[in-house]
Amino acid sequence: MTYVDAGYVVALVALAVYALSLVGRERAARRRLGGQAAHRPGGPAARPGRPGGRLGGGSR
Amino acid sequence: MSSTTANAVAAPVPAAPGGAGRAGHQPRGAWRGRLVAATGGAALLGIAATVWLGLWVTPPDVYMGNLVRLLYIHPPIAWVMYLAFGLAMLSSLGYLWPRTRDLRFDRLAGAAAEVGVVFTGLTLVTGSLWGRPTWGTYWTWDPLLTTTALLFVLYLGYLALRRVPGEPEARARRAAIGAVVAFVDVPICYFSVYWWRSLHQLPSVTAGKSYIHGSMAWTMLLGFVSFTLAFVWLVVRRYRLAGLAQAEEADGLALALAERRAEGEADAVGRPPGPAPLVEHGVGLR
Repeated sequence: MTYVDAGYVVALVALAVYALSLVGRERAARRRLGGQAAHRPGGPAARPGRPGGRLGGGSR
Repeated sequence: MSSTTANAVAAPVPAAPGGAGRAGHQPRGAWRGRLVAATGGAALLGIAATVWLGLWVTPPDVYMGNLVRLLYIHPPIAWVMYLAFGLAMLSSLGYLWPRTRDLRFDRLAGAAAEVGVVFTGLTLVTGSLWGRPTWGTYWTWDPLLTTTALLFVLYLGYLALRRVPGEPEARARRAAIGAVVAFVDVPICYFSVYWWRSLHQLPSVTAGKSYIHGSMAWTMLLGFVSFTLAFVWLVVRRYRLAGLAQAEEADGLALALAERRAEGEADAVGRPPGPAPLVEHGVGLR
């Protein structure tokens, strides 16, 4: 592997890992928030048709 | 952004960032979501095209040979680094200015700075990989390299500062001041190649002049556009995540308080008067 190849690999892999980590963390946070809303006494998620509660099932 | 404070309960819980918070706002949220997805897709395609053009289509340079191929990604990544820290500074000023004070500016500054730190690390690594065969060393205390490394450390410190516990407003205020102070190094870093003519070459492309032409120039331009789009996408995703973390803090604390209240009411029925013990549920006492 040349220095050029190494530079491209490092840059692309690092950006891909960071981007995927952001997507994963956002999904996990939405799941946790959905769970919290469902456990809240009288929370909106208790009503049918709103799985994510206040957060809706919004765009991810 | 993970510390929980009592004031978080009083603070208004933000609507789901980037999401469709209320039923009446569904089309707007969906439109915004599609725009972000399109930006991410365009960035991905652009970066793939830059890699293809940079590694297989463009010719080697007369002087640098194949090493010139690193210049299709190194300057664009460095440009994004400056852009990120500029956005963090402007957002911080937006927060510090009393008329525009809003925690959304604080979240935007944090998101831009974090992405900027990633790009600063990549600037240093790709630069070192270019420097080894060109200068014979991965690292030298050249003014540009040194000030870039200083930028990296300064903004790592800024990110650490953001995690120091405190009331949201106090946290945001000190972080904003930190971002403005850290930004002082950005112009020093950029102009260091002009002020102290040292080992690092001058920029290949400046406002009025370009030292590369033809397919090489177009490939570099594509790199600039693609990495800028990637930056926009990453900042939006990070900003959303920060909003969710803030909502999570507020939700977790509200839930814990509701549980304690319910336990207190239940205890009041069957217990003698006195302070109710805290029950270890591990839900709210984070």
